[in-house]
Amino acid sequence: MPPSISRLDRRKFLLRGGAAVAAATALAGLPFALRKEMTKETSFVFFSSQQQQAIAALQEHLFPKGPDSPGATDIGAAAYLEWAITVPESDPDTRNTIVNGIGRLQDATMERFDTVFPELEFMQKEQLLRYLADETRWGRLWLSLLLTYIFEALLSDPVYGGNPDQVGWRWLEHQPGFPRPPTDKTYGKL
Amino acid sequence: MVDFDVCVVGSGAGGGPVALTLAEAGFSVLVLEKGPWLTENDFYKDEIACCRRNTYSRNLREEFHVVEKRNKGKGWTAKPTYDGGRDFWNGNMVGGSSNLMSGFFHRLKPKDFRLLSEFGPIDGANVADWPIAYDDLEPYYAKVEREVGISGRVVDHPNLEPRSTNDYPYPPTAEHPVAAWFDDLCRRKELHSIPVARAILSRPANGRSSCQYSGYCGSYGCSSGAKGSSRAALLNRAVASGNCEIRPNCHVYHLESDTSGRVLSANYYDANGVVQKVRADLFVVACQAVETSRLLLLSRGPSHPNGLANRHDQVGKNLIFSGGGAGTGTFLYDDLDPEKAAQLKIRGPFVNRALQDWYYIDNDEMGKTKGGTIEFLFRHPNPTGRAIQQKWESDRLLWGHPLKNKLHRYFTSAGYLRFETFADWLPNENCNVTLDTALRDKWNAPVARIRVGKHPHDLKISRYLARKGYQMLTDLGADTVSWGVSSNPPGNLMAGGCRFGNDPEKSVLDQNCRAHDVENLYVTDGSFMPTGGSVPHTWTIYANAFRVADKMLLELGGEKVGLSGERN
Repeated sequence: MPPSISRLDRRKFLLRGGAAVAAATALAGLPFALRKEMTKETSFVFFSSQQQQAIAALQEHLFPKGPDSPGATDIGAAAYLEWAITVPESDPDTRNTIVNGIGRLQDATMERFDTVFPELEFMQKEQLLRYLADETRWGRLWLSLLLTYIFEALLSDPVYGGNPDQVGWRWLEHQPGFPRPPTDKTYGKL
Repeated sequence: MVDFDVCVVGSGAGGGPVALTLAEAGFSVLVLEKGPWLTENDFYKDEIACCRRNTYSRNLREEFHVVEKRNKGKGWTAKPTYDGGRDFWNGNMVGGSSNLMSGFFHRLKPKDFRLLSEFGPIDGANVADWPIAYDDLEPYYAKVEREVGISGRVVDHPNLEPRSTNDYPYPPTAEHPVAAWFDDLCRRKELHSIPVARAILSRPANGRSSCQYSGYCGSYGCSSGAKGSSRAALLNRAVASGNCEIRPNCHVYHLESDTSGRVLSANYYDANGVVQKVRADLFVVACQAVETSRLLLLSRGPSHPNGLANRHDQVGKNLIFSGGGAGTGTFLYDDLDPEKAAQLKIRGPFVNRALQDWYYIDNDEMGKTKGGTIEFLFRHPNPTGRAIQQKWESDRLLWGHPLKNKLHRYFTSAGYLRFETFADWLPNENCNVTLDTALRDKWNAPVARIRVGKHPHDLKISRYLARKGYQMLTDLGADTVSWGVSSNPPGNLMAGGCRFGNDPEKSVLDQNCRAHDVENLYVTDGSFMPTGGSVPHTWTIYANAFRVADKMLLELGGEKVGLSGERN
């Protein structure tokens, strides 16, 4: 097989020496069954409402809708992210990294702008994220990890909740392989 | 009293041929496999399950390796694989990593069996001739073509191996139009375009379907059964013989031996984590190179205080991989004539082309030396993996519309052809497997510590070959070609560690791959290889395992007939 295919390494983005682990640990092992009931418009069962709003605003900034292209909301990026970090097989360190990052983003936003991230103007968001990506190690790794999950939401099989109606595949003219996975033969069920 | 005539530990390309041969000869065979028993009904073209998560390998928190790499200070830095980087599991399931291979199949060449004699010693490398010759293995290469199912087309070229048959038993798989571009270029450059044989059925056979050309092959389990995995091609038939039992999810942790040195039992944890023992007359270890060495080192006994078959401290030494480089050519559709652009967009058929014009090199630049193989193929179609590479511009993280524009351009404006080079990974004293003295797996056994030192000669050869690959892609019309060579080992192309040879002090196995100092223990995965050739190892592993199975059959007294145990 080609030796060049890289897996998402589950610890590669682990932040060392960062802030203490947030409440995510207590939420680990969330029942995957709950995910089936979720849609992108409705309830998030892992992220709090505030976290969900911050994530959604951040993802849309990272991957905005264009005139002829889907944005993060269109591809179900937030719901996909929640599934990806709560499926029982997922890595708790990665989960903690994601959650800690949201907290740090909220802290940084409050410190600099005295408001919450979704309320920032476009340029304020851009300046803050550019600072985090270029000047802080944790920010760089965290944003890179979030982009990876956005790409997964964009390009994985719709069976995982992202890429609804193959919107990502169609935008990038990608031809999927076949047979495609049925719901009972997905990651975590094999 | 034994439970089985033969117990095979590991079910990949090394285990399957032995299980099939001996089961069909009437012997009772047990195959113990640590992974699950997945079938065609479990394999889908699902990038998440296949390639983004560890579906087919171990939980790295529970089972991992420690990898030692050379650091800038010329020392060695050790890092467990759960802590980032590439892991060394390649497919823990019935059939092993052969389920996930691309199946680019090449034979070794006669000179590969006598690298030391042909090219002389290299400082810092532990090169050795094989104790058998190409002619000893040729009938088994031919057997693999039939039994595993290899499709292809033999064309004459200066480095074609001697063959006992004129052609492959299965015609080539469907060829992509780009193969014709390649053939044309080779004619102009007076090179020899080689249609690459594939362990993929081009027509149905033995209850297996032919290839469905989904465009997703390497790294994926095969949904049609066309790929010649040990499971689809061999083990299913072994089980059908009525003489072979496969026990999945069984992790062998110790081969117990008696005071005479014979192996008595394979001790394992079953699917429920309960310790079991199985006794057999003959034991076969085929866990892939690293884990085979580890199991032998872990299997201390009264006559084997340093591990099974390790009287002369050879187990784990001379681990090899495949040395290589790779490159990708970007072919902008707008720069191609419309017909060629349309051809490049076709997905499904295979390019299936390689060059071996530099398998041996003798020129002013390089002197007389062993070269290698250059394989040409499409870039793997996994979209997420490709997208991720677009998020960096130099070392700056991209997002927003600049990222989306780059992504769209990348996916829609060009096709991508690749080359991969295969050269010897010279065995050397800094490439080996030992037991880690500190870290243990979930079974409380020391994990394998893999030192992955590479000989500088290999990089020189890889660079030479990669430059040729670069030139080919450029001449094919690529707008840009990025390429490189790496000193990192490709974990999916491992061999060695239990070298076979005639000198018990310098090898682990005899020429029939039986341990020098354990009369009922054979090793039939790639561990036996003193050198790896300049091609992927799998065909040779299959062929040698069939060869060793015949030797075992002789030892067992030939085929069993009837149920009485009478043998002919």
